[in-house]
Amino acid sequence: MAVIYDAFLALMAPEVLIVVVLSSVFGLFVGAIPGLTATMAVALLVPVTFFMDPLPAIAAIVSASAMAIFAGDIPSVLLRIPGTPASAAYTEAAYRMTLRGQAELVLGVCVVTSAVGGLVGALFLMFFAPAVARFALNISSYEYFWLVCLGLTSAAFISPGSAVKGIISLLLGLLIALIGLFPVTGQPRFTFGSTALYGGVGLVATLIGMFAIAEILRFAMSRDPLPSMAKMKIGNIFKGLMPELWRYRKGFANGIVVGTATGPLPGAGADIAAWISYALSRRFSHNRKEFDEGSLEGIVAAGAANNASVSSSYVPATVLGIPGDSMTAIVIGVLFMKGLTPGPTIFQTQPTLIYGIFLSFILANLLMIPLGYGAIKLSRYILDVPRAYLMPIIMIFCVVGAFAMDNTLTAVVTMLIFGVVGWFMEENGFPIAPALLGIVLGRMLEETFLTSMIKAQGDFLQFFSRPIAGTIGVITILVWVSPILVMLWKRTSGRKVLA
Amino acid sequence: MKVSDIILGPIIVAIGVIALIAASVQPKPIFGGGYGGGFFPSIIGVGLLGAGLILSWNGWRERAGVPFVAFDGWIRSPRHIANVAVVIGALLFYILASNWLGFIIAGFITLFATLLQFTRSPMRSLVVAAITTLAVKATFQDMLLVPLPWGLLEPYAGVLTWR
Repeated sequence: MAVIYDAFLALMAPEVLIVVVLSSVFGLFVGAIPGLTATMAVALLVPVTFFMDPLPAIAAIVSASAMAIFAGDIPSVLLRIPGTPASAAYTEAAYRMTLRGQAELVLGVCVVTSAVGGLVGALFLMFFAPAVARFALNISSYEYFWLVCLGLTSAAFISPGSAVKGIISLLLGLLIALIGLFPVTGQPRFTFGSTALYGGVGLVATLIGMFAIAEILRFAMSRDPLPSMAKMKIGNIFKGLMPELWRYRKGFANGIVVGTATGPLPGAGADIAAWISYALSRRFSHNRKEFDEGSLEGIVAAGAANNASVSSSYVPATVLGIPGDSMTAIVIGVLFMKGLTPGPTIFQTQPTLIYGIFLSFILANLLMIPLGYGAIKLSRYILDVPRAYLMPIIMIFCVVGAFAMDNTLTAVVTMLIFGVVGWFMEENGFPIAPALLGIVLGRMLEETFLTSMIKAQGDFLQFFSRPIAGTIGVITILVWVSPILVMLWKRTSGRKVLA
Repeated sequence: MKVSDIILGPIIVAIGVIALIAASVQPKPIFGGGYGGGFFPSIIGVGLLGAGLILSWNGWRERAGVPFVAFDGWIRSPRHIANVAVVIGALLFYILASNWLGFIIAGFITLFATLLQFTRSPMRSLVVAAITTLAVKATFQDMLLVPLPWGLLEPYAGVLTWR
């Protein structure tokens, strides 16, 4: 308890609070603008957090990401374009209600369900993470190796589009992670003779390229004008809210549970949480017709789920150092940059920091209601910001942000290259998230493997010698061979039908 | 720009082969059970090779319905081609010229050119570019102490910094 009190005091320091409020406003703004995702908000924030202490740095990322995921709902409701992919699941339903003149109610539901979902996820994180950490203290490099493998594999398989393209994206990410000095012997590897690459390819520059520059390129090519905003005056968004929330309390609770459970899963992010809970609430809806015509039922569930998953996704990220999605991958990168190694021992070495991070979730979700209300009120102006002005401004921030990481132009070059690569990959159906996870986890995968092999003196069977390692190993291998098994099963059942 | 899997597949195979060759020239370790710097890249190389072959096979099966390279509408609009060219050109210009011109001049030109292309409004672009450049300079160079290059303005650095 004393630790939580200390963490609370640390979080309440005026400079931390100012950082949280400012990054919340930033997150709301970026999230509300279609085309600018929550991950992009975080990627643009990282260069600035580089100059902060660890707690305000992570608190800034936490608040910006939570706010951006909520703010994605605003253009969903008013323009029928999800502000971030996490809002895509219920955009259609939300906009249909807007057309029926219920925009205020939907926006009210979005802000409250997001805040409550995020809060429950944060409480889960606070109480569950230490338990996982105690358990994780007993795990060795064998278990780590398999956990990283499982995380990466799930990321490749769960990502939208074809599994082969997901795997290729992951492998390319891993290949990029291997650039730099080989950790065991310190010899340069794949550096093409450039000393600038000895430290590896810059993570932040890669991120900014893939998420921001790629988006600017897409904007430059886009020929679709923005649809006009539903013209209306937004009054009291909390009017008549409570009876509706009470009516859909079951869906609300389901959404929170699904979101909280989905968050820690490797590869599953806020958007997947929203899709799953939306699909589940449709499946169990008593009035499917009303649901399909656009009702609050799915919005309540999915709106809570995406924010709950943002909070709970920090469990594997902080406790094991294994990110589940691109956002937590960035957080891990930031922790490493601050000289902190995420892992079970962080609860012993940095208890105030880690509980400070957890409490920042609670703070951010509590702030979401007043700030979110403000953003909704100002939505007309936010959504009217001309993107022809916004995109070049973002571009110059990207340039300076990438440069600020190591004060060389190499980072700007990296950013440009990965901007074009990220754009090309997305155009051709290669998901970006597996590549990013590969870049973040590639080193860890190699190091845990080599450490284990040195310990085991080259005996690969040692990877299955411990109960947990063996179990996770078998699960991972099953996931690997599952596509082949499914294919064989389809073939044999197809033959039976023919016979 | 959508490229058919029948072209992308062999490219991925080629990357896999390059990774395998690069891995094979990595020095062999003298300890650690024979797992050197080439071990992991070779696994990834094999993976890319296999996945690239599957992708090529998928492309081959769908070859009748999918063109080799399909461009979206933007390629037929000179304005949109210019948009893309200006974004990439402006970034390349910054990379090549910022050390010589300095952030204030190179950043301003980069920003102004992109704004002008996107908005077609010279006066507004000029104002927005000037204000943004100064705001970025104040935030990153003066507050966060990022050593943005001074370039040509180096003799005036003392006058242009407020701390």
